[in-house]
Amino acid sequence: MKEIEKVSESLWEIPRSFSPGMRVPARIIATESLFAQMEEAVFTQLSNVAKLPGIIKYALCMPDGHWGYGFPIGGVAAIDPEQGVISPGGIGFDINCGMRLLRTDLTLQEVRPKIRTLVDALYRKIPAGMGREAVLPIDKKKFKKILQEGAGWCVNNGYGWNEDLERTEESGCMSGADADRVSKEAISRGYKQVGTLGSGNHYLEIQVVKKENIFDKDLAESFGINRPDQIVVMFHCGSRGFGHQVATDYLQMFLRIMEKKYNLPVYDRQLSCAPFRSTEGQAYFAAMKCAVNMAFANRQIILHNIRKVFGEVFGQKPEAMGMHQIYDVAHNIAKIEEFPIDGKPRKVLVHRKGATRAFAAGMPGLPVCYQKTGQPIIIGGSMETGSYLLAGQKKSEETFYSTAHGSGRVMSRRAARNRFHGKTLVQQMADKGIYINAASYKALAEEAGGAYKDIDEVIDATEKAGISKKVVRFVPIGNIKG
Amino acid sequence: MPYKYLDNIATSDMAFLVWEKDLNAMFAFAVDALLNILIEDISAVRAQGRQCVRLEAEALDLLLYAFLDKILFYKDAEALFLRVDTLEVEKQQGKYVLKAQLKGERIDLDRHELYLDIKAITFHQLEVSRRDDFWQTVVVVDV
Repeated sequence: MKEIEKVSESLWEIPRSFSPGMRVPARIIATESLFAQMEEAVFTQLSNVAKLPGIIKYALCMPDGHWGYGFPIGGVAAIDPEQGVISPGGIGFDINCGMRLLRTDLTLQEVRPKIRTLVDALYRKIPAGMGREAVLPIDKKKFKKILQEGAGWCVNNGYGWNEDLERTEESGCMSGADADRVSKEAISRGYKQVGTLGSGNHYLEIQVVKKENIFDKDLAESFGINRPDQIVVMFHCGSRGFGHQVATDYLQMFLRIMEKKYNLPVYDRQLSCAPFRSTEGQAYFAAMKCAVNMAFANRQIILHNIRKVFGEVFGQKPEAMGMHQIYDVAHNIAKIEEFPIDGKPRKVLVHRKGATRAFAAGMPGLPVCYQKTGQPIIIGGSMETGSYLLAGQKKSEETFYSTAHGSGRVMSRRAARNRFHGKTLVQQMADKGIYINAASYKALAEEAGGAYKDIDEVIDATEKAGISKKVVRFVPIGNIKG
Repeated sequence: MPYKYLDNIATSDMAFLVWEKDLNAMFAFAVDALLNILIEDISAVRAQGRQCVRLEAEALDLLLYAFLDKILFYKDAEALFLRVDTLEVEKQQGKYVLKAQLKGERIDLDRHELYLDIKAITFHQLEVSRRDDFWQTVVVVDV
């Protein structure tokens, strides 16, 4: 790629001359080998992001970046809310897809003998895949309350602890969510799905912290990782059919008005957008917030049910097992955030699609318990290779306080399906000490570690770029898949 | 079957190509191609319940998008797997109108071997086009 310039060991720049219409350059955070693995479509998509009205400084791609719809996965854009646009393609179909991590006082020695019982009980209690019964007995009226109140509704109704909220991005609720801006189809699609995991690359894992995988002991202790062979639970899911429908509805609506009403050129239909301050832009933002809140509530109900299952399996109260939530992060979202850009405080509409917010120590928006450490950042790897907990760093001001979100696929689903066999994989995983319960073995084969980028290299790239700091690496011992 | 899956379009997702002489039949097979991602064997879906759909759009690809989105809607909202029983696309006053009867049944985990849930239909490379003597479409879905 002769036009792309290597700025440093971890930074690449696509100049404005790359494609007509780019308002700003684009930047990619990646090591040499991660950069080499990126499809050319990533550069084209990123150059399209750089054409969005109101974009500030540069369009960004994180080291786990790969081809997406509209934005590449790993795409970040900060947009001037007064002059610029909002784009559903910069958020993704799975609005507020995210990660939640909870710690326990339990150790590998205590959990290993019960891992099958535990995973099977979790699989029964937390629906994964299609066609499973609803877990939360609510009607559409209550669902609308959840859309406006997010995880707070759950805690107020006995599904969780108050401290869970402060340890969730946005305290588990974005204000300004308006259920009237959401279609009745979206409500019908989502109201029975609160507390469900979904399918695809969504999962729930029981993981262990090995001594050699603690990279910063002090930060680890501040995050609650404080004993040998400690067990944690990590899960990945979003706003389910509700969020998918919200995104689908507004994508179609924006396509109808983009050129005709707002005279905005369509470079890619998946990158349809509307002026943020327009009626349509504000309607989407209010509807997107409903999906954000639904996802926070979804993960809150799942957390509650994890605590319940652990309580039943180990015969102890979750409180007695120290089952505190470490944090919850969103990695498909748009938000108004205020932070210094080039030394001056500025309010921007940050789109993060497959990218995680990474606030540094001392920033408003972080709870008191993490003011000194920086934000806990939860990165899910493939089910075979492990996951990470990182901490936010000051240098992430260069990426609008964003970092990576996962490992990113390198092999297509069907290629993975031909290469790996679900049931064989389950056996191989069992040999490695990982017990799995999955809704579909074929879908499971597609999630094999070999289908993904090397997570360690993605994390090293974020550390080299200075945008997040390695704290702990987790390895799975039990896994539930949709 | 007049559809096949394409490997080289979407690394993380699924893409398919459908071709048929008749436009109405092409729409019907697009539903089968979609359903065949959700489950392994679409012939396991019995025609027990019925849903009527009427949609309109300014272009054929937008109509197909809205139609396939409806199939995903019923999958989540009613836990229904649906196939096309009858379907007709007409041009009326500059708009394309689709009327369809869908037949299917509720998801039965004992009989339906699940494959991949689908989040959404995408506009990526979406096209409905007329070739010499047949219609074809390419659809990419987000899973």
